[in-house]
Amino acid sequence: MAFPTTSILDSFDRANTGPPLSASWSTIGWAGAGMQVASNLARGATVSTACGEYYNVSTYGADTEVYATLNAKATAGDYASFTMDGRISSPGSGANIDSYEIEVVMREGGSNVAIVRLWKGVNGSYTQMGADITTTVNAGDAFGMEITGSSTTTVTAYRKPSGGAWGSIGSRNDSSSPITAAGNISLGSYESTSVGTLTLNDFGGGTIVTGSKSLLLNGQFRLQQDILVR
Amino acid sequence: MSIAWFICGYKTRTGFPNRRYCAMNDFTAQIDADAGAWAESEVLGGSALVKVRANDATLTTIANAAGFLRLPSIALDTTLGSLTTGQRNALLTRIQAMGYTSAELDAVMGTTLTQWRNKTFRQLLNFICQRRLTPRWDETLQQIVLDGSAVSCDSPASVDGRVV
Repeated sequence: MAFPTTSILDSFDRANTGPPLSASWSTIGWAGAGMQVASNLARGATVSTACGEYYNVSTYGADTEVYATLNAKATAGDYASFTMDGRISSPGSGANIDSYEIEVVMREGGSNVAIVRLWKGVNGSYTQMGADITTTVNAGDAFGMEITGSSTTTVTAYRKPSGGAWGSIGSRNDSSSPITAAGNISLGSYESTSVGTLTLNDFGGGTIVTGSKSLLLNGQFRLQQDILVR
Repeated sequence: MSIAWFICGYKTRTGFPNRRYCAMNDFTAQIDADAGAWAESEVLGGSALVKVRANDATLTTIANAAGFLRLPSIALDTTLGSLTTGQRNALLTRIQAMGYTSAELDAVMGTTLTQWRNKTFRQLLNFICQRRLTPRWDETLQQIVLDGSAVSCDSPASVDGRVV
């Protein structure tokens, strides 16, 4: 299946603001703080705190995708991560929230190694699905998550190297009381040393579009059913 | 490269008490270095049934780690014909610690070593994977609590198929 099939929802090109990122965003239940826009980029609002907001304009799914670009990664000495959730239910409740999540953890800032983790959240508790996925991370890379299926739900992590093409880096299956309903999508980050060294851009996602081709054109996605337009 | 099955627990992610991971993940780097793999099914009592493919030295290291129980077989449809008293006792202790009753276990596996030896490894794993309780985050206790509804587990066959 092509990834992604949906358009960018927020490029954060606006005056500094937040939290929240805009009226289209609300603090997610598991977060201790929200997100903010600075220099046309998204970032966490508070250091050493899980920051996150969900896109409140619509729910998507059940088959859902979400993605964002890492504009700048953690600097030396800063432990940082960013997250994206999908199929979120009860998004504003820390005790009731359910979701699937991709987390990209950058260890020992300055290196190009990242650990990607896929999580399942039930009633506010999050359980990692399977093993850590080790991958490369550089500024300008994009990461995403695809959630498909019902009785067996498959959660797939994707990475697009800066200037490169999207590719799957790992997937996990969930057939034990999976989360099957449509829900919100979200963006979050965590920085241990200082806010703003990790910045994000071009958040996109939504209900997966089947039977389509996607083309990256001047930074925006254009969907065509049958004809590839150049 | 060899195959092994384990029962292990879950650990809380440092600094994030609402997040937990299968303890086998502490050995992911070593398993990856072996070009191996692992997959799990969460079972009752915050435990996990895990199948691992890795080098013998790595499997031995895992088996010797606190909280890990290496199971006495690897092929689902072979009987537990070589099961020892010590191995059975270790399984009894671990399975009951999960929350299964001795009555439940006796009804499936029997009450004697001889009866256990006539059961297949699949029958044992199917018993272990009968159910789990859904988790929740308790804001007052600031910890994950496993007291929700009983749900089915990923099957041993599913775990078996993910690590070949």
